[in-house]
Amino acid sequence: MDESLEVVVKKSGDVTIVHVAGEVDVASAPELRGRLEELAPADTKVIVDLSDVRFLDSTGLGVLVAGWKRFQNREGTSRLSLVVTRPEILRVLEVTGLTDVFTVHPSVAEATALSS
Amino acid sequence: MSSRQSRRADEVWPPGGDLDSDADCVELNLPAKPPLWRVARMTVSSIGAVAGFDVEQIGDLRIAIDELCTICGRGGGPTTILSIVARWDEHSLLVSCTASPLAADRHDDPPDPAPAEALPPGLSQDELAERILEALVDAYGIDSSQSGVRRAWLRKSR
Repeated sequence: MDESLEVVVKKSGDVTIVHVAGEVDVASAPELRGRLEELAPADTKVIVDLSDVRFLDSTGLGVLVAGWKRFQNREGTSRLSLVVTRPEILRVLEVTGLTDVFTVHPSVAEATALSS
Repeated sequence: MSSRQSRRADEVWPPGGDLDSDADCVELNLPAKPPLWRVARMTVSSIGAVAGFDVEQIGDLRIAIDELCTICGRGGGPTTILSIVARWDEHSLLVSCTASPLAADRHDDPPDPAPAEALPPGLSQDELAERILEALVDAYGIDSSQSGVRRAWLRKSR
């Protein structure tokens, strides 16, 4: 386990919240990938809370995109959404065009309300 | 403006900058182990501060150097060394990254890439890295090399 990253998974009704804290880079991304792969793909809505992520690189983005695909619905949307509050993390999503792929919420409360 | 440039082996390395002849220079050599990318990030962030970049630009440099390390260090052997050279003057910062395997690690064939996520078209790991570099720096280049040596560079102006 990479000590720069902490991943806590909580269930709230039929919503699973994955709280991520620390740095998501090439060294720590496998930890996040593993936690996302542990989730049951069929019956959950997943909110990945990145509000305590201080650093996110292309490897971390790759893990999130793979998670997005894993929870993709038949109509092309995904049951995985993100919570992003830090401008530097939002910037990485924007410059890679991934704000057009992910549904990004400003808070867990809003994401939960819209997912329920 | 961002640009990606391919280089010929006989061209000057690193390209991409016409820095003053008295430009300051810092060189960092570290094993090509992903946990050590943080050292590169911290070093280049500090250099960015010394060179007079603002907080947002330093954040950009922090991500960009991480991408250079990932691009160059991918598939490196246990004795591969990443050499990072930062040169700067009052106008811009030029950072190069070279991954050099020691003789025992050299292969005739390129090393296997690190496992990558199965991503949709247009969202491959390399494409994401290049989108980040295109957005965050003024110019960059990636050199697919021979003899297992991989190198990349970036230039960012204030």
